[in-house]
Amino acid sequence: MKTNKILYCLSVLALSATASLAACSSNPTPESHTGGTHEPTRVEKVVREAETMSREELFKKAAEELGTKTFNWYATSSRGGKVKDKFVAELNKVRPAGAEEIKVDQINYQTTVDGKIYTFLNAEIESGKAVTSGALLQDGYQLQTKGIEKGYVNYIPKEWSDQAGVNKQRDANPFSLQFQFKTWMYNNHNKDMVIDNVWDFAKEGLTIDTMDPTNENVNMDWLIQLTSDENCALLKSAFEHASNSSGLTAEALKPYESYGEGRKYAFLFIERFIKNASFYADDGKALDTFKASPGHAAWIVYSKIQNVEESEQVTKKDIVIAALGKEHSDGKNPTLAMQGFGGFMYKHYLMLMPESPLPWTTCAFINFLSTTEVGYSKWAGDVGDYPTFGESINQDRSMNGHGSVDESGKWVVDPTKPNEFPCLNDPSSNWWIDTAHSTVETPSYISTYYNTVAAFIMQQIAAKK
Amino acid sequence: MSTLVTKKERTPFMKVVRRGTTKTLTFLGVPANSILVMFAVVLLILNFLPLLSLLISSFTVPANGVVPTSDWDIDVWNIWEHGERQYVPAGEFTFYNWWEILFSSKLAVGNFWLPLARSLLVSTFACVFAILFGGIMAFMITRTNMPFKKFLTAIFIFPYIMPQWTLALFWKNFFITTDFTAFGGEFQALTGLIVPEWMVYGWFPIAMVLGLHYTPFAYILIGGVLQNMDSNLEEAATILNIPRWKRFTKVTIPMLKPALFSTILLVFSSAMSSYSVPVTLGNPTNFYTLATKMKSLIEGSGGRYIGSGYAVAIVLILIGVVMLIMNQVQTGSRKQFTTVTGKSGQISKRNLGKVGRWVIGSVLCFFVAIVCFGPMVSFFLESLLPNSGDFSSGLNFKAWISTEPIGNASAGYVGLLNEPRVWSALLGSIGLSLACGFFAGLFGLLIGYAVSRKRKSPLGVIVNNVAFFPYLMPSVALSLIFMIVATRLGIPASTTTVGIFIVMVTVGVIKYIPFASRTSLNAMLQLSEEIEEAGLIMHIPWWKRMTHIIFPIQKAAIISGFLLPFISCMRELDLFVFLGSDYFILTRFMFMLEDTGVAALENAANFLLIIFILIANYLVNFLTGASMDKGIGGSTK
Repeated sequence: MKTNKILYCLSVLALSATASLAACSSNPTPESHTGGTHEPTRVEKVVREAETMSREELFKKAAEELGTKTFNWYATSSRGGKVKDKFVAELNKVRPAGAEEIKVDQINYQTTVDGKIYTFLNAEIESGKAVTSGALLQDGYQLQTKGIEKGYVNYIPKEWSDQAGVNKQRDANPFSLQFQFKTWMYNNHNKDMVIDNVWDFAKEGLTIDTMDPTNENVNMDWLIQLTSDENCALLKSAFEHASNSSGLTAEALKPYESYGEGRKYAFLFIERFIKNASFYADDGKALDTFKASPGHAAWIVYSKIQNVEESEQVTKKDIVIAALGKEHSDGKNPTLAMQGFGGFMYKHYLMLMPESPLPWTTCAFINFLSTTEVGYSKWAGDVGDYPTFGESINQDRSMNGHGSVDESGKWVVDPTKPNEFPCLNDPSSNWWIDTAHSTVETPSYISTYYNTVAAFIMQQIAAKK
Repeated sequence: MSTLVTKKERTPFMKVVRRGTTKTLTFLGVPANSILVMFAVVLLILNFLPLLSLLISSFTVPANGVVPTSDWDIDVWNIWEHGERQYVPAGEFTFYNWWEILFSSKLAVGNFWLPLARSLLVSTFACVFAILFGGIMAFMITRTNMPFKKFLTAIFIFPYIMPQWTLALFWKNFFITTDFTAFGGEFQALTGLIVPEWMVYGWFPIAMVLGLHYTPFAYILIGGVLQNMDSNLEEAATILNIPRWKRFTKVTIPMLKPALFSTILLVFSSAMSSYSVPVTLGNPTNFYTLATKMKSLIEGSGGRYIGSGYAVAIVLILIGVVMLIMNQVQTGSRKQFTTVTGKSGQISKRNLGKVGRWVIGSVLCFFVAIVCFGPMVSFFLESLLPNSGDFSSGLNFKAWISTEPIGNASAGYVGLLNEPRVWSALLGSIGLSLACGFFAGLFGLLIGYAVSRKRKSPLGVIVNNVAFFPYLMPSVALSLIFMIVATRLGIPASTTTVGIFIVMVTVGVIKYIPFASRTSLNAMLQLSEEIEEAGLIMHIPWWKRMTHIIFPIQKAAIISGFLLPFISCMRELDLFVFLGSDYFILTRFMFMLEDTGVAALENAANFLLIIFILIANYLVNFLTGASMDKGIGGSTK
């Protein structure tokens, strides 16, 4: 009988536990923050104050606030986590006298992909149990529709605002750490391919290795951004340029006439791109196929090509960045080798959560990542990563293709040596944007036109056989 | 005022209550009843809460969803032509998600009907292949004098132990040709032949890989019956001069029916919801199945299509339920996963001939060895190459021992043996799998025991079926639901904390109870109730009867019930995609490695995972005598 009583109690316990689970999951959702004039929240007050403080003052506040607590941070990039020891060292320099030493494992830096990060963060906000203080995010669409409208708080470091040359209108709100760059490339191994017009990627029969737009949303965003007036104009002029060898004529534009004079070019381009695309779950997988597939084109994150291991048959020498051309030797001020747009600059944003438990520490961390050389160091060496703060915290990569392989097989950059890998001579973000006409992610545009264009994109993907 | 009431003073209501209480206590006094009641309630809640959540979400406008108030036809979404639309606010009830997935003129075919047809095609062929290959193997091993039986029996379970995607990658690496990349695969290198595209990507390789992965199911289930089946029946038919084909269709097949239906149920349901194989062998040629579509609808497009993704998940569950009902109707619950358990004194062995037995044995050994050892050899070799399939610059051990970052220096990983995150992820996987294995095994044992004792009672039937239900739930959806529950309980879902570990164990236990409960049920059904009754007469408490009588007798089979969830958890990815940090368990870590574009690292991690699983399986087998085949339901020797 004793056993049965235990079993009975267990049943009651299990029932209570599941009932409480059910009850918890039906917690009312806190009212979402929709902007407009309102009394500043606790976090917003801290942020407004932090924006007027110097880094040192801010770090003092952060060290005081953090103490022995844990700072939870989410990110779509793991790089920031690699400098958390440096951040802690800075905080320890200014921590209050007699306070316990701040330890590196107090910084809990978690990473995930953009398909999940907003789900995680917003589930937390809706639960009313704030744990995460801030986040490094990507995907302007979700940031606008799920983040900003949910009350994510924007902080602009004073050092960033005071820095000459920063583009406040473009990068301050939402605050952008850096640009990540997707660009056109092709594998020219044993081929004599020439791609000098963006419409050449729309040519029937070409395979473009790329990431599935439905897998990571930035791959949807750039297609939506293409329909903006500036990009439509670019596509129109490239379409009409003599270098366009796509074989597409005005006839191909007819189905899209009703979308507008300029927009028909964007919609045709989207249609053709999706037709030619071979979709992968991530850029790494797309690169894996592309690097070993002569004649293929790719639309992937520029920095990924640094991962190509050299062998007799696979080499970065065969990879041509379409906008830079085959003979490209110096990224300082190269000649544009392609008509149309050279790539897509999407951003990494830094935001505080609306109920951030440690807002001072969050502001300090954002400040550290975005305005200091050490904080940005894990992105600075990569081609295709460009800080909004300017080149002062970035490394010069304009001659990254010059150098030699050392005894251990490692590539050592040396501008005085021959140009082995033209594809690695990375120009500045200004060149990519101003000269190569790269599309820049604009969350407000994308969120306004997402529904229309995403529906079209989904149709095209669904129609792929 | 006294609260005591004498017998005479009791009202009729009090009498009814008292009688009811006495009856309930008597009913619950039987341990099997208490267990059934407890698990009926818990499993119903834990199964139907997620299901309800899925169902509600499929009828709700998602946070980023776009549901026009009228004219659902997608073409009028062109705002440049038709102007701005009016939309239903997020969170409102709608049929739109279902309409979009089932009837939308532009999306339904590509997002649902075509993937559904492809899933059905792939699953059907996987079933056929698994039954044919597994059946032939089972027949050869149990009914012929073929040599190498011990070797084949020992390794034939490997394809099931290995994660599905490892077989898919192996298939791709083996058959890929210079039509796709600069390098051909091993097949082209060995034969010089270039196979057509449909051999590398598309329905055929997906069906073959899934079939291979589930062949051990068929082999064990069919083999169990063939081994225990009384051959007197077949011999009687022979004496009566009944033709061979008629003997096969009228005697052998009916006896194999329960095993065949069980195989079909398991293989078909699993193949329908498989994600990793179609994504590896389908996506490069845009071959989407229902499971790959579901995942991209749920996770992608900023949540715009998540409601439609849930609708697809429900369809997948419904297909599984239909299969389960068909299986029930055909075989009856008693026979569902058990083989014929009565021992026959005679099993006739067919003589394959002096030469024939060696030829057949060698051919089978060759093919089975390729399937079982091929992935390991392939992954190890690939881990030594600078680029996948690229032997042009020889082999190197960078992916294993490099202390310098491989590939991109800023984001790069060092060689796996020097990468601390690999070891902590391996520890995380072991810890999680041990916990899931233990609790799923324990609960499965209790369920199996209770159902075996009360299998004819309605409660027994309910628990038996509800315990199997999580097998049909898509793992990704389960993961998402529990992530939301965890967050609402104040547990950050993407961290490495005790709280999230408990949530992961909970979701793992729910998902793996079907394995453990079926294994336990099979074991308990083989055990006569008289054995326990003897203990009961001696007034031995229930827990002592369990630990001192039942467990020791069926030790191997019961431990197998712990082993199956353990192994399944070790290679699980989808179930934990929304739970825990990226480096918490090995499969999530491997998923991160994919994005590096350094195939050697990924292959090294695959190799490490397979080797660890095989070692764990061997150790358990060696120490306890338990094995996966006993867990799945067979006892093939």
